[in-house]
Amino acid sequence: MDTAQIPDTLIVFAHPGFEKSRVHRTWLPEVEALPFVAVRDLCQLYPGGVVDVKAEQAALESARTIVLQFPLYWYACPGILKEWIDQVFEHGWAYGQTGTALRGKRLLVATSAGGAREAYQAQGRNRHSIKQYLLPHEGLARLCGMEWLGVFALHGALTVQHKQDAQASAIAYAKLLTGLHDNSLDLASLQSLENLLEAIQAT
Amino acid sequence: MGLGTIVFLLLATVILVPLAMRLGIGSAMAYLLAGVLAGPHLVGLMSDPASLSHAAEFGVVIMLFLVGLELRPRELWRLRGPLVALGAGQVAGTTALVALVGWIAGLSWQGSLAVGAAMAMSSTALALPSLRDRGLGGGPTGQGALAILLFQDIAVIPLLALLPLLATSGVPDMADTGGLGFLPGFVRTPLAMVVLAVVLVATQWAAKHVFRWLALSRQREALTAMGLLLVSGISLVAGTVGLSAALGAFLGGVLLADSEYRHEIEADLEPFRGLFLGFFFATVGAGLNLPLILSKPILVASLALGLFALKVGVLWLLARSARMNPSDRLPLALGLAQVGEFAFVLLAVSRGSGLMSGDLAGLLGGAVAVSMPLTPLSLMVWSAAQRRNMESVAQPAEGAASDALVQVEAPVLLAGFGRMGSMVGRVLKAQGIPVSVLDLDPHQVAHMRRLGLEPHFGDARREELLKAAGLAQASLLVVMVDDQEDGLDIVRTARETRPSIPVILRVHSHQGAYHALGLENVEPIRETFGAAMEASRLALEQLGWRSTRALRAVELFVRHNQASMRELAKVDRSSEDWLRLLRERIDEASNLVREDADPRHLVDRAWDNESLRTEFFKKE
Repeated sequence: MDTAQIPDTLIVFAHPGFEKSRVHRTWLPEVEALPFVAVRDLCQLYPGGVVDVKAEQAALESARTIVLQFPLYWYACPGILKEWIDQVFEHGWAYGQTGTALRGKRLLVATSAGGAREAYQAQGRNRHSIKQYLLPHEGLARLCGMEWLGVFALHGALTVQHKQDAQASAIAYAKLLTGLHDNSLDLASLQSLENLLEAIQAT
Repeated sequence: MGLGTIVFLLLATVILVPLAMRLGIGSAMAYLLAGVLAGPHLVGLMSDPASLSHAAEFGVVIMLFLVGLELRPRELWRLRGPLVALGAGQVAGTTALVALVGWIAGLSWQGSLAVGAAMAMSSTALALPSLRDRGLGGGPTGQGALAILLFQDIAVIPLLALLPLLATSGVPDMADTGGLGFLPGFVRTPLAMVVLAVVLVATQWAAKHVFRWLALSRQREALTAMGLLLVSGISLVAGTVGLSAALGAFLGGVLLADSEYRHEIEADLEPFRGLFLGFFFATVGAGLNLPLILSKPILVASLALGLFALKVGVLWLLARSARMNPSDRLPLALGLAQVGEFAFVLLAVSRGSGLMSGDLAGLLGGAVAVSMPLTPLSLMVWSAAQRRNMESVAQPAEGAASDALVQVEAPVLLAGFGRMGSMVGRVLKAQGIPVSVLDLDPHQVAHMRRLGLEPHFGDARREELLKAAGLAQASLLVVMVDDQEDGLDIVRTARETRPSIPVILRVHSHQGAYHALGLENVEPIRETFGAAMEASRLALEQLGWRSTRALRAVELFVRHNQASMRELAKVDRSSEDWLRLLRERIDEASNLVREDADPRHLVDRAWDNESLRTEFFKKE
């Protein structure tokens, strides 16, 4: 049976400066074109920050893979995404005794960072990897009973001059989502990796 | 002109023009043919075409006035590059080449130059409408054509002064140079310019006040008459001081381009332009000297074709050197390759100055007249070829094709500039978005102008005014007039031209909102809704609510209200269901704001940890 008609991958997209983005304006159309992907663009949906919790929960419930896509701001996600998490992931729905809505789903972060790969190392300027900085998202996944897939990160986003410079990473991103959709990826091995972008590009 | 002639021309307009447009030969050709038919050599209705020339010239004058009206002084300044490069190149190049041919053929060098200058002129009346008929009025072709035609119009003035100076014998004939003819040429031209400038500035000042006064009377025909008066008055003055009436009208138009009455004038004069231009073409057709042409058919035809080909060549090369797109070069060249009506004037002056013989002038006059229909004919062939070549190319989007020479590049058309509209206009303007504004209240328009905004006077319920304000190019229509029925009228009218243009519509009542929601892609704005919500939010804050919570309460109410509005709009308002649904929605809304006395309340649990606390203590 063809399940491609029903979106099973939900991208929650948060980018306050989307108009000027080179990376995400290349990434988003690439993955939006996949038939099994649905996108919720938070800056379009909730400019005032008042989230429609019911609608968001319904969208999450129908998904199998949840992707948080955003540019890295101050080693974390943009405020609007944190705001969204705060309001949507309610006790009794996402976690707690009766909070089982997200159990068994898979959580992935797709992000871009200005700093180079070398900067995000123990010896580098930032001391930690992006995956380490994004520990709160891993914690969220665990508390809600979700499978934490890790981080797909493009380093050196500042050096991306033109949209086509981000094309290779966009294709890798689509490849990752397709692999997750048709179960052709070895999740256990993914989870141990620092950066899924490099892993996908290596295959 | 006799009643018979008028009836004939109107008949031609009603029958031939739509037919010609359907056959794709353009309205100019249709009028020309009508003129030939009516002329002294066939039916004989227009036995004395010269007697019609005033009415005919008026068409050219109105056209150039309207062209000027579309060009603000700033935009005219932007055209100065092509004006000089294309215009001077065309006049100088054609004059030189034609003069060379004339000189080889045995004319004196003075005579050759006079012939060259006369043949360099193009016909504004033919070129612009012919290009417009083919949808080439806007864009690079139209702008290039306008630049060249304007340069020619300006060049005629010194040429008229210089030609007599070239004369080797005889006294210059001053018959054509108007009331200042007693002065020598080098004094007359600058003086005429000064006189015209003074008149134009005075007219601009007076027009502003007169228009407002007339607008307040709400008599449309008074405004139309004023528009016509303005055009004819300016051209009368220009003609009296010996300048081209068309150039005077053009400058008058440019000076009024910044006026708030611009769109109103445009809409009022538009039909006159078409009719009078039709008369112009008809007189050209009637003026064709059939016996002369038939007596020396080969000579006249080869002169006309030769001149046409030579001008096409010069124009094409100029367009190429100006880096115009290859696809724009040929239509520009074909559009301007005919020899224009100024040639008759220049030929007459040259003959009067003894620069050429009457026979030669007559022969050239015949060739000029024959060259005129070559433009619509060749453009017809060109566009047929174009169609065949580009069968597969997609048609331009709805409303994308525009007649305007200079695109009104306002993506937003705003109707109504009162308490709501002016604020919308200011917000958009602050974002650097050009907005084309129409308002019906002369006082309001004048007031907003003083504040540095640029609304135009005009009734947006009229299709011509919406078009003049740029409906064809707009990507959004914002209707902020205070009368709901007027607003719906505007939407209906606009949608006749642009069936799918998105609309934001101010409505007065719920009924209006329901009505608007029934229309495709119309976003109703209830005029008091936003303010009431703002007041509610402030009230909650005054009661001590934290601002975040007040904002959320109001935002949730707004969303619920808008969603139920959309739902109710689908239900027949005379049915039982409607009342029931309405009651339900009202109850829901009040529950919605009666937020969180109950922690299990479904509506707004943001940052609420009551349930977490309960669970935590249960575990203890």
